[in-house]
Amino acid sequence: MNRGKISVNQKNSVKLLEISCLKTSFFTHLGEVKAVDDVSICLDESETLGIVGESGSGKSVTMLSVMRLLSDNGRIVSGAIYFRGRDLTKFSEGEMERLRGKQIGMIFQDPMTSLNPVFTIGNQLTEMIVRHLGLGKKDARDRAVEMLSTVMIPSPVQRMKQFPHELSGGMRQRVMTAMALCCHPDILIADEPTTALDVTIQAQIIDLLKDLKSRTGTSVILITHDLGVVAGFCDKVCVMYAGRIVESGSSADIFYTPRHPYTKGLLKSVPNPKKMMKERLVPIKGVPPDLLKPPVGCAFAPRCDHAMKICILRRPPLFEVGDGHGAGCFLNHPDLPASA
Amino acid sequence: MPLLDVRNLKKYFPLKRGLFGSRANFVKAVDDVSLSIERGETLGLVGESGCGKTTVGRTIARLYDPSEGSIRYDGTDISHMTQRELVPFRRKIQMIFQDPFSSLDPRMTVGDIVGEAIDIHGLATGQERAERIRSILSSVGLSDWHANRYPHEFSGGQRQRIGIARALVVEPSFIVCDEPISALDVSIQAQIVNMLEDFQEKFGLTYLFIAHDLSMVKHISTRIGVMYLGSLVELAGSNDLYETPLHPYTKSLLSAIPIPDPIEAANSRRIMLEGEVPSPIDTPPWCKFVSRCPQARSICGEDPPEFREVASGHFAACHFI
Ligand SMILES: Nc1ncnc2c1ncn2[C@@H]1O[C@H](COP(=O)(O)OP(=O)(O)OP(=O)(O)O)[C@@H](O)[C@H]1O
Ligand SMILES: Nc1ncnc2c1ncn2[C@@H]1O[C@H](COP(=O)(O)OP(=O)(O)OP(=O)(O)O)[C@@H](O)[C@H]1O
Ligand code: SF4
Ligand SMILES: [Mg+2]
Ligand SMILES: [Mg+2]
Repeated sequence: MNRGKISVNQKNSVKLLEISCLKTSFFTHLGEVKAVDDVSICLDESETLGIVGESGSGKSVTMLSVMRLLSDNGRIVSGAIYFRGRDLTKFSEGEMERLRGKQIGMIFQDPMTSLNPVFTIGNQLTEMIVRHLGLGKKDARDRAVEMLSTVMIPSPVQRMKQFPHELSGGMRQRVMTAMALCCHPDILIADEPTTALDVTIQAQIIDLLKDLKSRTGTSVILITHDLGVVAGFCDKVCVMYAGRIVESGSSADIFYTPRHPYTKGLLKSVPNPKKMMKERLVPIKGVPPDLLKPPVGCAFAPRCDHAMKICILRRPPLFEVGDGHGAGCFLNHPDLPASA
Repeated sequence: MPLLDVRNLKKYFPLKRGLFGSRANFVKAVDDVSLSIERGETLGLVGESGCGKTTVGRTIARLYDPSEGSIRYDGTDISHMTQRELVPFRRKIQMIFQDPFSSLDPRMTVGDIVGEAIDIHGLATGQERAERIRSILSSVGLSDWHANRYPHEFSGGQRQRIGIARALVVEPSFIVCDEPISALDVSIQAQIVNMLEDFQEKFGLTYLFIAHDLSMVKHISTRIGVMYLGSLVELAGSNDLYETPLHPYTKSLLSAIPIPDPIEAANSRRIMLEGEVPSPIDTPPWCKFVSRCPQARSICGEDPPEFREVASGHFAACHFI
């Protein structure tokens, strides 16, 4: 695995995907929810990027912004999303329609709302393959059955005739994966593709993604809460908190030398199964901020043991703490004496 | 007497549209499961996706009628009760659902969702009702300002906490937790697990805890049951299961736990399960694991192994233990 490779000397080369200063908000009866607040992410060809972070920190909304599939009250407020140098925020709906699935595929976090409850699994898969790959009905059906067995769903022929609610949670999730894999996209965005899976099937699905990547060079963005999956699969990792990226770097950077207190807190929350004696788990204390009234300073300050005066007053930029490793925390300010 | 005693539970779903007219007319989602849970205990339930964990949970909570077998709750057989007879049990047995997206009514605010549970069971009104809602939301890590919002305005993880609040607010004694934390970030997972443990200690709650994260299951459970294709294949105390897994399926499961450490992850070895993934539509009359078992021999394809106590409190179903 090529861990921790970050391209630095490619000034003029066009990135596969470059999200630049993205701000996305939802406009509700209570006010503006700043779900994504100045997020920048870069993705190269054949790269796997993991996105981890707090529930509700804007991971899904960032990627739904890329797909331009926000709900009606959501809007990209500012920023740009370059796909091979072209700004997707300026695309017409028709252009987006042609791009989705084919060039950028997405496995949605929520299978029940992206699968239509009134059509069978087979219907939906076949229809999608006809639409995207232009196969005939019969070939599309065969392809659909083949895809279901690739994602390890037993009795695929019978399963084609079932409705989404007749499948187990993990099976529905794998149907989504099958749909996304069908079209060999350039970028596959996988939003929690394995949360409902047992560890052996999870490992097999991850192998499937690895295999796809090595065969077709597809780049993968993997959103997950499972730090173990990130460690085993991703080259780079971004950590999100309250709509912002608080730390980014190689997997090794994030797991071995985390520089943001939130990242450290996350790593400490995982139980150690080797312990025979039961110990109380150590979550990060407190609750995340209200995105209707995000704090002016560091969003993590109210929960942070190290918070200083400046943290409440000013928003920390992403300080460069190593090659390709950034941390948005004032403890990494170069003028701070004990910032090691 | 255990709080919950399940004997030979079966749940078959009929398959319609049998175009091929084959004899496989049922999905045997749960196929002969027996287990009991002591008061104040947490029984963990793990197993392959689609092996029937959710169906076990939903049948125990009597959201489904069992096809066969008995479910005794606190000594009373509830397996064949009518909806009306079940009313007093509905509050005591709660369920936290696996899918935080479709289990919440999109037209109700979070306050209403939690409030409705209070109203259904007539637990409180007026000021006290409002106070209960406020206090339960804060104990699951949601704030006051969340109460007036609708489910679609929440992230997956936040929605799951709403489901947990709804279950806890009626003060149940037994909760089926169907993957209550898989949609949450690890810090909130730890918060929720601590919270479930606190509630357990305070009110003597009993849990059936279904999950995929084996580290978390081990942490929270007193005992753990491992299911494969509708049946239990192993059941033991959680340390015992972790230290000395006996069934080949359990061994492969434990070997596949992802390790949150990039170097260790790159060097770890997992037992690959090869071979045909069997289907609950056409289950074999011999060992159900035979098609993928690395240790299988001829007897495995002839006789079903008995689920028996192989060491004190440690049950397993395999011919070679
Ligand atoms: N339609 C909406 N209206 C208002 N707020 C919304 C809407 N959709 C999402 N949000 C808010 O935007 C924020 C980001 O949500 P998002 O779904 O991106 O979180 P996430 O990081 O994917 O979390 P999780 O890990 O729990 O899935 C959340 O605080 C959520 O409450
Ligand atoms: N309402 C239903 N109608 C028909 N079949 C069903 C129904 N509910 C579940 N099944 C089938 O029963 C089997 C067990 O499903 P169940 O949801 O209990 O699995 P699970 O162990 O919870 O899986 P997961 O870990 O993926 O959630 C599956 O084959 C599923 O397709
Ligand atoms: S009985 Fe045989 S097939 Fe079944 S698990 Fe044991 S060794 Fe494997
Ligand atoms: Mg999400
Ligand atoms: Mg389930």
